Amino acid sequence: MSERVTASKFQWSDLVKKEDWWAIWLGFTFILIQIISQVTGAFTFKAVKTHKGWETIGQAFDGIFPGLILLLVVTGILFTIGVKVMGGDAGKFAKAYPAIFILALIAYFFSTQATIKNYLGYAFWALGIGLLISNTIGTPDWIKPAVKTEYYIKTGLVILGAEILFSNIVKFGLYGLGVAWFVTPIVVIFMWYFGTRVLKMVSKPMVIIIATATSVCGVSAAIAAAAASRAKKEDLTFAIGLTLIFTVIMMVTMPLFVSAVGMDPMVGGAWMGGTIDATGAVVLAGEALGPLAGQVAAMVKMIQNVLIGVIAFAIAIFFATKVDREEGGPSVGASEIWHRFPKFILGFIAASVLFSFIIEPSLGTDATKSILKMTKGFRGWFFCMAFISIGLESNFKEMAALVQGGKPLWLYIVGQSFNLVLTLLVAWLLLSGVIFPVPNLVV
Amino acid sequence: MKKNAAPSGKFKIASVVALIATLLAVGYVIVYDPTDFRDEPYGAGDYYYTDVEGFGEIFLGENASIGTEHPVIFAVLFIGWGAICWYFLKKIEKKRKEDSTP
Repeated sequence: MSERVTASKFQWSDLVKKEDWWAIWLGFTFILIQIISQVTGAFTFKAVKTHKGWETIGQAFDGIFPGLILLLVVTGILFTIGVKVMGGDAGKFAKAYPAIFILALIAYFFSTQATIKNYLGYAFWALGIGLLISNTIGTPDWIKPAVKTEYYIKTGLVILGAEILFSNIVKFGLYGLGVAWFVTPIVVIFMWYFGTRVLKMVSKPMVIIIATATSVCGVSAAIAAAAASRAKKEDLTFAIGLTLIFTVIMMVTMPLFVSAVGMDPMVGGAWMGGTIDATGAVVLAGEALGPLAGQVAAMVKMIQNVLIGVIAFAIAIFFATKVDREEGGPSVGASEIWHRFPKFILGFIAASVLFSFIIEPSLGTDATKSILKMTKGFRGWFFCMAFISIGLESNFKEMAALVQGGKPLWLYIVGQSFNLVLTLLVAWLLLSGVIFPVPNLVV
Repeated sequence: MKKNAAPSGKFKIASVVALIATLLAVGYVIVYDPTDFRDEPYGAGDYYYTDVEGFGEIFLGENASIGTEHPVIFAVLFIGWGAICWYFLKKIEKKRKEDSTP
């Protein structure tokens, strides 16, 4: 059976014994390292990976081996300390961790290749490599101690929290709020209704993950929703698989369609920003239509990126108080909500608050950008190792049971279609000049 | 579809056809690159805004904002709309549980 992303009852010893809390401590350790690096300038510690756009193997690994070894050693030591304190077998974890690290490096290697880099990111390759191993030769027993999906995901999510700057939500003013915040919850609610009432999907976390990935921002939103809803790993795998393949199609077809019908670039940009899942794909598609559409698309997507924090928190509360509560059971009190609540979300939110209200105002936007440029690398590595772990723990037989005749696929298709229509309507109402004045953007 | 019924054969066939068509489209896009994206530094593998090359200028630069002249209206709309949606989501879930109880 698959483990579920955990939420556990609280005791003071949990602060050092539970994975949720260790994810917070580790996440903040990596954040703190980068803040100290930025403020003092005394050292640089970068989460290196293969060079993007390589055409030969030599180009891919040019000059990165010292940085890779340092990254392996430091992350390995910190994760091992966590495992040891939590009561795990630190020795076995330490021996297995380099294997997970190397597999993640291979995923990065493929994802940064010149032809592939625009279309299939590390999540695809990491899941693929893990699934290939587990379903052919089988996951070797000696690697299993380091196959710790939740540990890596939660730590990565706490670091992701730092990247959620609340100041960015006002970037596009009331226009952006309309396109991003008006549409997003409606799509989530529609997909929740469609998935649970019409399709009658068995896995409720899978419904909310697919809904969040579709309406917010793809893989990163799916990860946050999975952790907040205590989803099974297979649920996350399906949601990510769907968002990855449809992102490739949408990022290519939408700019072609917008151009073909002569749509206003501002409306087209907002439409793409509100519907294409991956942020990089939004920028790519927006730029294909020109600087104005590119800027509008990026700003709408930025607001959705920030919404991850709000939505992950809402999902955690929704599942703790409503979905996981038995019908007819007692109402859920504050202490029970606290018991059920995934604690690492607190670290995720704390990191966001720290960077939004303390780091950015005190150090300035440029220094904040420099810190985030470094922390994002660690977050990416931990997510990549989490996807490797998911693949290594999954087998096709168990996954087949979750296919449910293709219901997840139809949930995505119907939900995304609804998202496309509603976002286009709202973008047109707000940005075409028919009702409201057209915003004056500098490009 | 009947309550809790397994998907029908037609539903499964439609799913397989949709999946194959989607995968073929993805394959076509990657192989033929119809929008000529290959020289661009961005892509579908940039999952969050900070993953995008040059994110500082694109998302946090001076031009990447028109701000809002109405912060109070902005905050009220943000919180108010969130509260309305939260109410409806709870209602839907409550109704689902009531309907699923024998």
